[in-house]
Amino acid sequence: MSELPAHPSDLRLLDPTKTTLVLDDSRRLQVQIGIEERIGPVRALRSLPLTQPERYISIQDDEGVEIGVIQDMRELDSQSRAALQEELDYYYLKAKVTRILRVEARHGLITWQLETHLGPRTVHVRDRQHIRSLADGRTILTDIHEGKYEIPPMAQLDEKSVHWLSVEV
Amino acid sequence: MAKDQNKPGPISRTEDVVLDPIQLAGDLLVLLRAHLEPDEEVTAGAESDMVLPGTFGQSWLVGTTRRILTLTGPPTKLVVSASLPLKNVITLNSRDGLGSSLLEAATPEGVIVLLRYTEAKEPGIDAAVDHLKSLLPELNREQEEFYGGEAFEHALRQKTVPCPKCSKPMRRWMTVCPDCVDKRELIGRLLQRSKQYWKPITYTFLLTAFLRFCAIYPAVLQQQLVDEVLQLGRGTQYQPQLQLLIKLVVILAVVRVAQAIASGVQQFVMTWLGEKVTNDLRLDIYTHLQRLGVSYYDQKETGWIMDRVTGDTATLQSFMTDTLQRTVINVVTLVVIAVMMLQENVPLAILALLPAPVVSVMSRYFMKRTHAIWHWAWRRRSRMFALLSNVLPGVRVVKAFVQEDREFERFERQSLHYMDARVQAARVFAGFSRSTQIIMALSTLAIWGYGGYLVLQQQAGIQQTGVSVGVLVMFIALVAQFYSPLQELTNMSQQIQQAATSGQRVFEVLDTRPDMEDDENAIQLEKIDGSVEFDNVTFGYDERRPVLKGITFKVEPGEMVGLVGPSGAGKSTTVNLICRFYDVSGGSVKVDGHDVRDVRLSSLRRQIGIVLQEPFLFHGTIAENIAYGVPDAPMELIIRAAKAANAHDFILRFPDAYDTMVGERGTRLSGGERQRISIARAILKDPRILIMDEATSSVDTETEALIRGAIDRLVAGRTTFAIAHRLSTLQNATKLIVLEKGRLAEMGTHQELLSRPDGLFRRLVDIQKELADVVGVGG
Repeated sequence: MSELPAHPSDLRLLDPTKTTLVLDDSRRLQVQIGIEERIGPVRALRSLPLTQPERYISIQDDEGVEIGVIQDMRELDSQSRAALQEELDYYYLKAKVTRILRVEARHGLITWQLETHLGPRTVHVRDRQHIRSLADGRTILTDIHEGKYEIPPMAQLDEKSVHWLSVEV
Repeated sequence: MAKDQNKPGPISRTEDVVLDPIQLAGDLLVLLRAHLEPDEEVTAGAESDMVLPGTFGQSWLVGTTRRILTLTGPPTKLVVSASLPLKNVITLNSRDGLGSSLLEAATPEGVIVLLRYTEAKEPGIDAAVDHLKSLLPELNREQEEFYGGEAFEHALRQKTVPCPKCSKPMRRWMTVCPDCVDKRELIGRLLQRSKQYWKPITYTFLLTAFLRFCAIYPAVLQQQLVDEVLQLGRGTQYQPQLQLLIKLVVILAVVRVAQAIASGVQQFVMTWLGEKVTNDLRLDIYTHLQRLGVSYYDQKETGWIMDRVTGDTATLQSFMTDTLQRTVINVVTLVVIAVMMLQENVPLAILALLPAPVVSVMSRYFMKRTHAIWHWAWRRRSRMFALLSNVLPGVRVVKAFVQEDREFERFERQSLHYMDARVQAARVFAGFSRSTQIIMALSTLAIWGYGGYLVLQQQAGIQQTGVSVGVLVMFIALVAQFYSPLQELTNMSQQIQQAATSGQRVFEVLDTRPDMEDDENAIQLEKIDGSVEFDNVTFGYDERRPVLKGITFKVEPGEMVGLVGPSGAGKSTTVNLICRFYDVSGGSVKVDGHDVRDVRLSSLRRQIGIVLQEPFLFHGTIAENIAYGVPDAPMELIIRAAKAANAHDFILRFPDAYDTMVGERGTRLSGGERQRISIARAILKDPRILIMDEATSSVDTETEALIRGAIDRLVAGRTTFAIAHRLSTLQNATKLIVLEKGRLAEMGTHQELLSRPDGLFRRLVDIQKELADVVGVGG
């Protein structure tokens, strides 16, 4: 799986058993594929950041050329996984919502007062197209600055949060 | 010109000068009566200063509620020169010459010249013609509507079939013409649809019956209260009277509480039922619409169809869940109250029942009158929706050409027309319902008067068999309960009318036979090799105007074929026939040796991939759009397809990557991005036959290079048909088919065709080279 693709357009899936990811001293990601191929710094991009954030992670060199794709980061060894997770957490800032305090639609914006795992936050969302319900019950808010806020499924929320969420979704 | 008081109002609110549609002298109108049927009314008319074929003289154009007439001769000796029933007129058209014009009527049988007139008479005749056009029957109006400004020309080429009942011409997709639609049958069909909900309908029916009982029963109690409790006289005792009073009040209270509870339950069940019925009907229409062929959509505007899926289903919901039940219950209530009143006092009962037949006759008259108005309003609403769905997607063009004001005016006109129709309907209805209200009020007063007189007579001892106060009170209460369902029934005539109109429109869609259904013996195509053969194919969207004429060619599996030719040569039509979006008029199209009409459509289309010049993306994520043809495709294949289409890199640059919502019709992506997504969609489908209709013509050179790379990978191993105006892009084609005016002009390889100095292909290549040189020098 880790051999070079026959054509640049072909998909190269990286073998998780032969792929190692580490962070260098400046906390930048490096990838080692097999024995001979070590590339760094590299960046990691999610193919499905909302629906399958741990699958199909594209590893690209610093010029944006794709080196390969990690099909499932959970199959990586723990150190590589931790390094990749740190890189992804850095790149994809996504606050996880713990409570919804209030939702108000005014002046063409929908204002959400939230408590998140990163602290309290007032979020302005342009319209309902920026409130996406995912099949697994999560809701993703994208605010006017393209920031992402992940609301867990209703079963994991308190009554008041459920009320506000059900009004909007 | 004398004005007639019964003339219809002005035609348009937006014109600067609005002429009355009847521009005829009052005495002429009187003389005209001799040529009209007793119930025929003049609705439009104008005088001409010429007589056909082309001499000066007097002639008249007259429109009535039934037909269009032309008359000649002096007013005292009028001669009818033409009489054309309105239902036979598709549209009217003025053919302008220098100094005079001809008024022509398009009919299914052909064009009939009605009138000739000079410019001096033009305004009056135009006003009359505009009004007459608004009176043309639904069938003809619709024909005119979807052909827009070219209605007249299209009317001449219209494909019609005779109605199986009356043999009048009708559109070929209809099963019965609007004239022959039986309203009772329509209502019957609606009832048929209600059958599957018989359980909840029974519950609500019982609840409604109970509610009616709750409404009537207090009248009986009131009579008892007045006659037996409130009249203490000799021989009556206080205590038992008090107990009876308490008993009656308690019963009344129980009835009222039960009524409130039952009413709440009924309201909920009926709402639930209504939503269920509408949902089912909507789904039925949508499923049927999916079965209809492409030709149906060619002929109907999106707004027209959407209005049937949304607006008309809502109207039918209220009929099937509410109107229907209330009609039955109201009729039963009327009978019960009538019997109760007749048992108690016959003269008083007759007084109370007198308005019923009057109201009933009025109701019939009203229904007749409003039918036309509702149809009118419906058509106008459809036109308004059609305008919206036409203009909104093209908002960029509107802005680019600074046509906002014009579009506003167009919409305002449609909106005002719709408003006018509704206002007119409301006016007629208001007049009707107030008249019935007055009649009923007078009847109540009569009961008070005559009933009071009978009570006085009894109390004065003049007449022993008179009426007690209690009976009078009961009568008044019952009359209120009698008039309420009577009034409701008359109001329902409007709802029934609306439902019949909506039903007709909905069933018009549901009754449309899909023009392309699988034959019983149709073959299920397994994985095909991909050979395609046209054998003497002739086809025209309008049979009288063939677009392809006697086309014959054969393409072997895996070949890449370039379809070349000037605009309108029939290139897109050729690929439409391979997909069997339409059926050929003559000859046959074969795939792997099977006539496409003999194979299951789904098994054919599943093996064909299409990349269009303007790719259509659906609202959803990029991943969903790529996987549109293979919804359960694993993500790995989706990414592989995107990579092959040179789309993966730009997709990953979006913050949500493959989870990115593309927006309605993919508006959040650029043209090149949309095109690459559509190529990925085709790659993932892995078709055996690939059709590319100008796939690279609307993108810049750099994007084209990326797309070309993707296409090269896509075509490998598949039979490919590519239409391209840039002939250089077809150099890799194994075969070029050159079409000209629907005929096969040339066929061969790129080199073979270039080597023919007088060939069409060579000429087209030379022209493009010259243009490129000019651009090169100029640029």
